[in-house]
Amino acid sequence: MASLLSQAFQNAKSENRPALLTYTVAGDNTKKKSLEILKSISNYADICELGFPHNTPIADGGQIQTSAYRAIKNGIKINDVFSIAKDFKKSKKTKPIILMGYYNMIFQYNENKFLDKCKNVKVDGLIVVDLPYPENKKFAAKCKKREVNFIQLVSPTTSPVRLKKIIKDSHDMVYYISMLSTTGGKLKVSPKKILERYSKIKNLNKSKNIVIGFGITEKTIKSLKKADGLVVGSAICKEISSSIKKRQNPVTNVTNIVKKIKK
Amino acid sequence: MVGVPHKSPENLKVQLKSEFKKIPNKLKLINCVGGGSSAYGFWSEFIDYDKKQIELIGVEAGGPKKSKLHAAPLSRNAKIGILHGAASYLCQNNEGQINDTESISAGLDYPGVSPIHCFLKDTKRARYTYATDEDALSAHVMVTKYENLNPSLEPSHAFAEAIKIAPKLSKDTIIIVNSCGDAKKDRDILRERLGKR
Repeated sequence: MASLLSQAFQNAKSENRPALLTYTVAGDNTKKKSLEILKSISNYADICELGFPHNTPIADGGQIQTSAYRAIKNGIKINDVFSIAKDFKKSKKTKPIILMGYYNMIFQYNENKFLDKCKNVKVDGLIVVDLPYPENKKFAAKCKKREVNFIQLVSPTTSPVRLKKIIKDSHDMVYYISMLSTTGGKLKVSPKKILERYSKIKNLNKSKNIVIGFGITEKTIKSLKKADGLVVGSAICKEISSSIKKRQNPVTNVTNIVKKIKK
Repeated sequence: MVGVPHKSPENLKVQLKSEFKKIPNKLKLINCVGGGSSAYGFWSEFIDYDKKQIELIGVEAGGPKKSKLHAAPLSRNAKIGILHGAASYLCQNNEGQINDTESISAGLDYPGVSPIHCFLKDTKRARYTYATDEDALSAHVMVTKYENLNPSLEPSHAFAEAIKIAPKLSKDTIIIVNSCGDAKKDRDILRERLGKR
């Protein structure tokens, strides 16, 4: 049977649109609230990415950093992240969830223990930002064994030779980083150029679902609809920050943003 | 004790031979260690020597005496972790969050360290220790008073270790400290901590 991830992409394709992937940080701004946000936005998102917060998030810009620091300050631990994912999956059985974070936290938790936990709480995929190919080969194989999708990252500077190898070693989904920047940066490459590169990757193996992330906002998303999927993260984290500042309910505000982006 | 204000290990060999006619039988090479590039450069020509002849001593930033914070992953029991694309001993908590570091010396203020120093530690080829901010400041004062040198706060950590161990050593032991930076850059902080000088 196809994985929930593949099904989500197929479903979006049948509706002639890219899959919408959201990214929120577990525990932002509290454990309870982040679960509420996740459940609420999953009514509009096709795939939910849930970040496990790290205090040295080398790929993240200001918005996601702020969310991560907030969550850590509120005392969120890895086991809380698993319990949020577990609660989420209890009520949203068919909605795929991807955990995203940094390798040191997995390494300290213990790789096998971490992956067993992922399988137990029915995590569908994993993005480990700082575990690149080929260092991730063994880890990716361990994921596969537990039916957890390991999601490879490729970027504008990935060489053609390397790209081929990475795609060959990838599972159902590949994450294309739109530009050389941290998350939430201003899109400094034209959508046309991004889609050109996207097509080159897609043509290597049409069965892989390629999503584009970094710099995707309500504004930029319209011009990238050709992609299999688009990831929105910083725009959501920004909304959580501004809701807290305005003493408004982040659940409602974030859900409205995701609803708008979906259109 | 001699402080050697240069960066070339080749040159150090030449200097040693001209000063002592050969590589001394008991030699200690002391260098501060932050990321570790300066120490590795200083030691690189001497790693193949027996450690009984040439001891390599790396001195990390112990931070303020009264603080729990430091930047000394090699000498203060840190566990291996992964940061910035490298595995090394790393100042971190048990969840893998990176600890804040603190040191009077900006150049040593880093939670990780080069993997090559982790290797030298594990194989026991080099010995690693730390000096506190206060140790480094006192060493700076002493060295500037008695030597024609003006070490920055980074090598002042190395001098602190030299000053600490020198009284216990035999007369024929040679200590060389790499005075790898000038204190001009630390002018403001030295003025703040030591008063007008």
